[in-house]
Amino acid sequence: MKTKRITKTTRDAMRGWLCCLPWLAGFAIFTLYPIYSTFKMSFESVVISAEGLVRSSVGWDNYRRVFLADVTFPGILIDYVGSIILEVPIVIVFSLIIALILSKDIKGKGFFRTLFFLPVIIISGPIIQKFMDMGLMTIQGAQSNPVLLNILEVLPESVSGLLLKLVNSFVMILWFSGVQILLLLSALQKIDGSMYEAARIDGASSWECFWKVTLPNVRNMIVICLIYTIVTISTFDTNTVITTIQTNMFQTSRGMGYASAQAWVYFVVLLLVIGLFMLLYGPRNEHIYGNTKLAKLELKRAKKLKKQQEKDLKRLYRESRRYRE
Amino acid sequence: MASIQGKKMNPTRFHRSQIKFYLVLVPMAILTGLPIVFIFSQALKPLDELYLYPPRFLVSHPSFSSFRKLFEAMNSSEVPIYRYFYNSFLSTFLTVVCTVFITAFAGYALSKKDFKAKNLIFSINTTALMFVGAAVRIPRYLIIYEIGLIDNFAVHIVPALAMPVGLFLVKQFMDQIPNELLEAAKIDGATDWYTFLRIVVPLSRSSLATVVILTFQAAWNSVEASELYLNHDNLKTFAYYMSTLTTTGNDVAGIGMAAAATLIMFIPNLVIFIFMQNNVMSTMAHSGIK
Repeated sequence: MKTKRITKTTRDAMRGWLCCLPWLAGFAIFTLYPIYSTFKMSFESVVISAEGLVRSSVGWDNYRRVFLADVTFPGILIDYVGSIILEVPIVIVFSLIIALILSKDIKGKGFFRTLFFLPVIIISGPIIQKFMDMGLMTIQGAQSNPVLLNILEVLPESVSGLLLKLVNSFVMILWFSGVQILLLLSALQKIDGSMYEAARIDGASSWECFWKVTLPNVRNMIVICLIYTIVTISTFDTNTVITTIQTNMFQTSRGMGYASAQAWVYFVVLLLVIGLFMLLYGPRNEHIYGNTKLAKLELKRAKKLKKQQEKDLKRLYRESRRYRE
Repeated sequence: MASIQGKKMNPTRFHRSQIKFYLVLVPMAILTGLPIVFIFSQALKPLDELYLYPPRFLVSHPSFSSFRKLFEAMNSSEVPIYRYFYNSFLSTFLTVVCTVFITAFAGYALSKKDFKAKNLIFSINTTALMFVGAAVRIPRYLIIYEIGLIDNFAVHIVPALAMPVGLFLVKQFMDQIPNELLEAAKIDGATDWYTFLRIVVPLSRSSLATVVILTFQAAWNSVEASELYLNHDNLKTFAYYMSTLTTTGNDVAGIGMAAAATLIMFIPNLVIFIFMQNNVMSTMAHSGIK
């Protein structure tokens, strides 16, 4: 019995890799590698000719053109960032409200849940473009509403422009909340009812319960929803930035290299936006302990303890084997 | 606030105090439900109503004229229409089944297994989510060309298998399954495979159902493979055929046919959704993850 055994942890790790493998292969070939090649292309001029793709290196030229020579693209990007900063919190708040109501025991709950999840199947289809063309995404008559017009006149143009955009795409925003409502609902249902009971006994009002019990408990799910929302909105087919990139791709004057550079700029901007949201709402663990330093110490001690335990277990195991032999 | 049921804090039947909830829910529900009504009513509109200005939301004289035109056009196509249907169903079915398996495995490994680079893989996945899908089209074509999948039926399925959004949702959901549950199973002598099938999959069923819905959507509506990677008409899908009907048929009847085609394309989505959503909702409520 002196053959070298594979330890449990390495076997576990190997199984983990094995489980990941099919997915990893597909991901690497069809997603990761193409992304890498657009990165390479963004430093090249790519011309589609009869003999196939003709590529030649141009250095940072594409990026310089994106920022310095392109008339429209920086403007579109700035517009986009503004609208996403506005839209994402609305989606989250809206889905949280709906999820809160749906987690209550009201009549027709199942029906409403289905209905609010429904946009998921429409939003990804080609149908959405048709709706946009027909102007169905706006609330009819909202733009000519005298109250709204007055408000818009008072505000500075940059703010009113955003507001108008918001009104115009309100229905659209609601439509982006399908999956988010679902995720939040599942998080809400996981909250232990006795926590509310305890809070009630201590004299907390429903309002306080919401801020002190509900919100901290669904916080992690909100972060997930945040990422999901930003991603779905910004990789959506009818997004203006994406349509611009797409048209540039097949233009002979600009071509694939230029479009790749644009895509990468957009990608970096997106990462920055997500980073911003993470800074504001990102996961925090301190609130459990109240003190970060203390929490870190605690964590260290726990890890040490665990290591010690593992060591002890291993020793015991070895000894027991020796004993058996 | 939430889930105080069972403690009898919430009334079990309709109560006047609940009206405020309905005041929020009903208008929102109507807003989100409208598009479905619109799809149906648009498909049933006769030609003169389709060109009405200002456009009217509901059909006033429903007729099947758009459908009749659509079927006439279908009959005159070179490849029999059932061939497109068969391609669509087969590719969608295979894509959905394989994707669910692959995503579930990967999600399980990333969430519950301990190995190096696991966090790295997941963060790469999350960042890849944000990359513009359209921009990778040409590199992807080159890869598919090199692998030799051009004019191969598998091109409908293989590139769609690794779905970053799906993995993101599934992994996050599986993270919520307590490790103690798995440890308990292990102590009782459950193998890895058994734990996965009997504990992890049932508990994350709602996220898997969401993946099914999303994948079905993507696969059923996809025209990318038919447009770019396939030259033989008898390998192309129904979605592609529909899109050719509505874009090349630029005549007056085109818009009616487009509406009818949209409805036909939409119905399988709706059916799958109705089947799966029940799964999503009910398991969500009794998932036992606490």
